[in-house]
Amino acid sequence: MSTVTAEISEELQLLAACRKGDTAAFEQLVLRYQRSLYNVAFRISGNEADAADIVQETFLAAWRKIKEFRGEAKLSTWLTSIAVNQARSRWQHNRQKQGREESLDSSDEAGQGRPLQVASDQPSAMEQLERSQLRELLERCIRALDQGFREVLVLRDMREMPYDEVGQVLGLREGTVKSRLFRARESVRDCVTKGMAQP
Amino acid sequence: MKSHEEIRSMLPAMAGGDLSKADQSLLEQHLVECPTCRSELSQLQAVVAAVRSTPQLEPPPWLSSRIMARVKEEQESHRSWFARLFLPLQIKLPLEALALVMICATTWYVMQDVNRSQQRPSVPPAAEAPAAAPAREADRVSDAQAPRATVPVIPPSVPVAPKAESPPSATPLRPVAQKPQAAPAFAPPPQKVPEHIEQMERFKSASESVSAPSAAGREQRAGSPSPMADHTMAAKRKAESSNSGLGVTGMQTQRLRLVVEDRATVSDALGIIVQRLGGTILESRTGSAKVRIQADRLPELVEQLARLGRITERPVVDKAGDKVLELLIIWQAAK
Repeated sequence: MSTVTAEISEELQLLAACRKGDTAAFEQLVLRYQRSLYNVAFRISGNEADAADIVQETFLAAWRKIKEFRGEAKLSTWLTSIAVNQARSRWQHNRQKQGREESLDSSDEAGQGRPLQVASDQPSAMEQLERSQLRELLERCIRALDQGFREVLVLRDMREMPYDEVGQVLGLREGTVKSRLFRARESVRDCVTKGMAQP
Repeated sequence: MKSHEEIRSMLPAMAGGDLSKADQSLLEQHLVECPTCRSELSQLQAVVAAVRSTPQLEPPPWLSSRIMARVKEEQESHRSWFARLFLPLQIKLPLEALALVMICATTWYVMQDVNRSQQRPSVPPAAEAPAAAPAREADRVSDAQAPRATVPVIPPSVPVAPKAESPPSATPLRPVAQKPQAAPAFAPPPQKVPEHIEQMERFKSASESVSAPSAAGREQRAGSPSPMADHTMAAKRKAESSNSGLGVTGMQTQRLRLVVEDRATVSDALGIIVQRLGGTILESRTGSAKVRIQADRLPELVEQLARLGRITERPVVDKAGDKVLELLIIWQAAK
């Protein structure tokens, strides 16, 4: 507990120094949060180069607005919300450039009502997912999610963020966050099942 | 009792451990009886576990350096903009204050100058006789009627060629034997050029730069004087005829006629010009003056008089003649 308190106190000192224009203090914050932001950005964008750009733009925006940050939310939540917004705008830009991407949701809705094909004699999904090639399938399925579902899944299941913080970052109610999350889990499960069924 | 579908919809929450205890126990009871939901829950739990166990990626090692380079660059550009304007304060502030004062002073001077140039000289010179007031009034009336651009442009740099530029009808006066001068020569005391005369010269330069009407038009206007101006002209001719006897020194007396915008200022200006050229005003009257000047300064005199107005009759320079000559200058207002 004292460690957490010390970390919070140190973070407040760094923030105060940043507000005075201390770039060395800001560098401390960059080193502290760049990893988690990079992972969020990568999971949402699905691209390493985009993720690096998103993190850079996130910290630049934070530097410009650091005086406006009053600590109503946690710094990590504030930074994550900036990163998600950056990722959204970049995603929209890429979408306009590359055209429409395949939506997992549409195929998901088409398959609704069909009974789940699970053969009892097959190895368990857990066993299959442990295989390395299935890791790639899983990430492809996550990338195929619609943006709104992917954001919730990344923040809640990957970043293990509490529901209320996810709601703060995305500007959603807690109920909406939960419904999207459960829908996203089902979609990924269906995608993985289909991917495994294909030779 | 919840239906199968209702309980099935709780499976994703159950897989992530997001169900309340009551719902969790309800679902667990259902799972005992439903192998399909058990299998589905197993898959969902596998997916959630896989997603949660996704390995954390390490950001590129250059990322923080790149971010900080951009941050410092941004801060530097902001600071340098501020520094360019205000830093160091002890040097920049006095310089900026001085510049501001100079700008204000220049603006004030320019505004004053514009105001002065917009005003025509309205105060008659004190040297003029009261009897000349009606004539001046007539001149003012004719001034107001005549456009300013009727004054011909005679650039100062052009050498004076009196014979070539004299109108064909103008016959230069022959030297006349003159009686000794009874009255002492009048020479005005040295004085500073009055401001309104300078203004008039500036105004004339400005008006000369404006495109002037055709020469024919000018001649026509010059040849159709108003009745009042006719009266004035007759009075002047009479004065000139009496002036012709002023050549009492035995020197050749030349004549120069001048058509000016404002007669009132010519007398003062003439005094200054003659004085500058080392000459003497022998006699000064309303609309005319007799001056004595070195013959070699005559072209300069003519050139400077040309700035006061349009010369309609030029003196004839006799190079073999006297080194000092007398010149009768007659001016009248433009119609």
